Amino acid sequence: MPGHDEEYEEFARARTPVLLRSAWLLCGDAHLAEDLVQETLAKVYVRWHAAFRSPIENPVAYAQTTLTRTFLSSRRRRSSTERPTGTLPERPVDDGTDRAATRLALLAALDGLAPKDRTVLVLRYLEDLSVEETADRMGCSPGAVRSRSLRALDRIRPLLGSSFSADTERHPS
Amino acid sequence: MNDHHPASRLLRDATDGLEHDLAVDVDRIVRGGTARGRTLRRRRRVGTALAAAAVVGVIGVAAGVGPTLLGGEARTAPEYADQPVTEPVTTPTPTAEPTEAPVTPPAGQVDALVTVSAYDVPGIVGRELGGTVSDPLTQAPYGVSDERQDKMVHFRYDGTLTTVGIERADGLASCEALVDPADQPDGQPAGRCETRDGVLLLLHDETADGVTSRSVWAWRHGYVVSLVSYDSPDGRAEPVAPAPPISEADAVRLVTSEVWFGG
Repeated sequence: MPGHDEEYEEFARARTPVLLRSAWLLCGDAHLAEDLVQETLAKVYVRWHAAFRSPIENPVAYAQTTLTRTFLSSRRRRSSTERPTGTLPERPVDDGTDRAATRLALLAALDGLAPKDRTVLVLRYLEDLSVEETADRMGCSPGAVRSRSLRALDRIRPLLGSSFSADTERHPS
Repeated sequence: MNDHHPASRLLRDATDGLEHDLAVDVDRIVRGGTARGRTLRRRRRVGTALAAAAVVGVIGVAAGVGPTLLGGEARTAPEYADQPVTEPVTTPTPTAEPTEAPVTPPAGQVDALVTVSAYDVPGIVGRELGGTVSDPLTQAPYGVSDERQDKMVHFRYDGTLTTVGIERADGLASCEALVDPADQPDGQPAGRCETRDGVLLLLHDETADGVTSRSVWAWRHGYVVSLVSYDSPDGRAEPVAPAPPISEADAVRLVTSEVWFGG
């Protein structure tokens, strides 16, 4: 139909940077992140052009959900035996300007996390979803989200500075 | 929400400007995603039916009757190869014992002609099921496809969006492939496949974004006849009925009807 491709490409171009940030945190690698985003866009493309289904009500949420599920699905296929590493990263330069060091330290911290823990972290703290929304998107219970969230936060605690404590998560305002 | 959580600040600080710092070519990613999407879409449409046809060298009825009987001209916008395989194709990994009896793929043989116009479909549905139907919806994003072997029309039945399609089956994936959860973005099966009275059916009820749709596909005469009934006028939002007005039984009756075919 006229304009359908253009609408999709406009949407994809606008959302790709956001998707890429989530994908980078999930994959921990720029190339894998680009691949994940492309796979996500491909699935959105198919759904966008599906003749027998209703139009996507919320393309932004649909794309983010597709990204998350594609990541989890790919990780299930690749390995089901991932184990957290036992070492925590060094705290990066604390002047707030050395973004590259922060990124490296963050990736190092996330590297030991199970895929679902990483996903919880991204959904809750990058995409700013509630526990319930995160549970819904991941297809698990709110309790599982809370527990994974605590585990993920524990991994990055050394990077969070003195303002963070476990109580911040246990008793969110 | 977590806007002021230290973890949110950390993740946002770390990813802010990421695409710029990594010198990511957004256009390249979009082009790649679009190309993959087209391939994925095409693969789903062609899928296993065409592969099976190629392996056993099936020549559809269309090849025998030729283009004259089927109308002479080519499809206007083929998404897939719509010509039947005219030469047997050797499978790359042949079995030791060739199959002696011809194997008929379940969806490959065209043995009837579609004799209705897409523009007549709403009237036929109204006559068969008794509901109130609108004229075909012709404005974007709907539109009508009225090719000889590829019909699609959207209209309203009792005030809700309804879509009817008739497509060559050898341009679609098999029922099993279409519902395969591994191919769905949400990881859930896209319906179920059943055989009733010798007819393969795909049945799928889905609720998304508050709108429920009921899809029934039937593999008949080498075509897939499909009907989707929604509970809302545009299939997007604001349901006007507690459920899609066309029941599964009525949808099955309609898509398995001979009313679409002749010859």
